[in-house]
Amino acid sequence: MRRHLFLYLAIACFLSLLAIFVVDGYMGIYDTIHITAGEHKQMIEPDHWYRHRYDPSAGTVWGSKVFFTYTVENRRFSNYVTLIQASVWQENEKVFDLFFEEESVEPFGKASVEWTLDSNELEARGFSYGQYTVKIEREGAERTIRVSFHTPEQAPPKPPPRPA
Amino acid sequence: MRTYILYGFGIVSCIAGMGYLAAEYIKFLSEPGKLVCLLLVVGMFGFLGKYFEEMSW
Repeated sequence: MRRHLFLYLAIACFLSLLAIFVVDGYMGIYDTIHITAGEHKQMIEPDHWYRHRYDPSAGTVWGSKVFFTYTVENRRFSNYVTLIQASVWQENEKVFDLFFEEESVEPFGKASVEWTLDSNELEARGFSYGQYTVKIEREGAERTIRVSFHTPEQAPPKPPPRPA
Repeated sequence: MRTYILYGFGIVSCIAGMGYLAAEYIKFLSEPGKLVCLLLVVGMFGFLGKYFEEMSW
């Protein structure tokens, strides 16, 4: 036993390392974004922001809406209280706020909030089709999503009907 | 001799694989988690060194 004591201690350190990788990797605050633009639905998972450098994007026809669902998951032993703020930007200037609310998420619980980016509201403020940035902020994180509105003429052509 | 070369190749591949996985997963750890991992790695290599010393390597 004494002869292999240091080997056992080294193995214990290695197993503790693996345990920390699993537990610490799981614990934390995670956010998921669901976007529905036209008939296209997409989910942006929490690890997107670690794995990719580009901002996710969504696009639809000018005159329609883009729906967002933002879910915050608290995998900690304490309550997570944060101000969730979503706003739409163009050319580095804020156009208007989409959502602004304080949320409290229980330990190992989830909270979801929803908002809509309506192109008619943009049009009412004098904006036109093009690219916009939706910025989502909460305590400790900021997410940006590019949203593009195009005219029906700019839309990709419909595929020809399949022969019967 | 060929066997030892194969052992060496296997050991180097294992260490490279573990190193790659550790470099990938370390991104998901919190700052205290990274610190504890560093201490455990130091402890692991320290104990391994002591073990080999006791085995008169």
